[in-house]
Amino acid sequence: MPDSKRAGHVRHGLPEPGTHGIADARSLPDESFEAGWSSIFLAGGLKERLLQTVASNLRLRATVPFEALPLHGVVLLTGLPGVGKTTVARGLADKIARVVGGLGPWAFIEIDPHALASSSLGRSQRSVEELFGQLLEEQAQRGPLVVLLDEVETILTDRAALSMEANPIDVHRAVDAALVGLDRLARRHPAVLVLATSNFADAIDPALSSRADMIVQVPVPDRDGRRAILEHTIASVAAAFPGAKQLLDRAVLDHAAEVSDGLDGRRLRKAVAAACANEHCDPERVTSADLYAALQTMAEQ
Amino acid sequence: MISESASAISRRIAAVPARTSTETWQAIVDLLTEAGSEAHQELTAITSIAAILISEEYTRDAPIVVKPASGARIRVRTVHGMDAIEAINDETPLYSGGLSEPGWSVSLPCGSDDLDEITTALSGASAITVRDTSEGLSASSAGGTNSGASAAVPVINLSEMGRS
Repeated sequence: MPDSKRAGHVRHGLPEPGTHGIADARSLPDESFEAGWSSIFLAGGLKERLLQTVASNLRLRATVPFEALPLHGVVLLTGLPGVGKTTVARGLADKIARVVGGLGPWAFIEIDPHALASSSLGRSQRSVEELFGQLLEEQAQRGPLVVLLDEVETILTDRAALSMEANPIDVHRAVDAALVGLDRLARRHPAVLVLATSNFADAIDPALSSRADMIVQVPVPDRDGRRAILEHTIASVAAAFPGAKQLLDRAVLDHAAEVSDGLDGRRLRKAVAAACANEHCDPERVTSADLYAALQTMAEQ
Repeated sequence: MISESASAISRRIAAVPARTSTETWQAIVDLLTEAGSEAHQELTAITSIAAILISEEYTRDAPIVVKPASGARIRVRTVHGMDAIEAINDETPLYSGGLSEPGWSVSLPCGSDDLDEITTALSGASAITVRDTSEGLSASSAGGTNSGASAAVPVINLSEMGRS
């Protein structure tokens, strides 16, 4: 039985699919998110430190007044496309729901930032206010909540960099509304965690960065990270196509990690898929040469 | 008078002339419940009684107080007159699940003149009560939430933390 379906772990009253501004809503823990967390490899114990910090902050926020310790429950994940920011965020959400108990069933809500932006004057602000003031507020009242703001620069655009030729007043007001909403959630609901991701850290309003309890730059994987990602991906393929197990040979993995310098996690995984698209179109017959060639092609693109 | 809790959920529903009193109650029932659910049927069954309270505008002066089985109380007020014309475009759905679980209750506001009659009419609906508007919010409905989640202290599972 999936974790989220166990008795007492189901969060009732989640927003309906198709709710304006909502990309995803589900109970936590969630098995698919857990698999994502397991597939993430961050050097230097970054993943563990991230989890420890978030869990510790949740405990602090529940007991120490906001005025004394202004923790907003916001974690900002930045980095290049493909390094796994969204996967880290979803995996962290799942992990927090497993690690932090005593608060009731956890919920996860992913915001669709593009649905909130509108060319109609005043509409963006109203959408943001409705999101924070009603939807998230009401979900937070029901129990612990993780909110994912993917591509957060879409909502919290740097106001100082706005062109006056566009519609800056509306964007200004929408950013203001989002910041007010974040502050209100932080003060009223210590069991709300906001995970924000961005490929463009410079495009984010500094007021969000200053509210973040932790800013994590998710790096392009180093050699050990690349090796771990390749091993994890190949093992997943080999579970279905045992012939691919030969790629799990230590020497093959070492060499593959060596020649894939600069590739992010997404490209590494796609390279494994590309290697399987050999002349036989058969993952059972994939060879180390196929893998090296795919990695080289990815690196050259 | 007990003041309304800041943590309660509030909604405004357009009434006369944007809707008839009966339509207004139906809009409130649709806001709170899923069609076909037990709660939907129970609330629909008292439409004629609720429509009287709406037409007398008791629900403008004091909220309908809804207590779900879990989560925050919901306070619904009706908007009348010219304001109703605008309010009908500003209505938003509930994002908290409404009366999806059994164990809910609803408190309807009523003027003292009609209180006895409405109380008698509602005697068959155990989850639905009526209160005198001059009494403000009933003590049982003054709290913000049923869950108590915000006051809970997190417990960290260290063994789970160690699992990758």
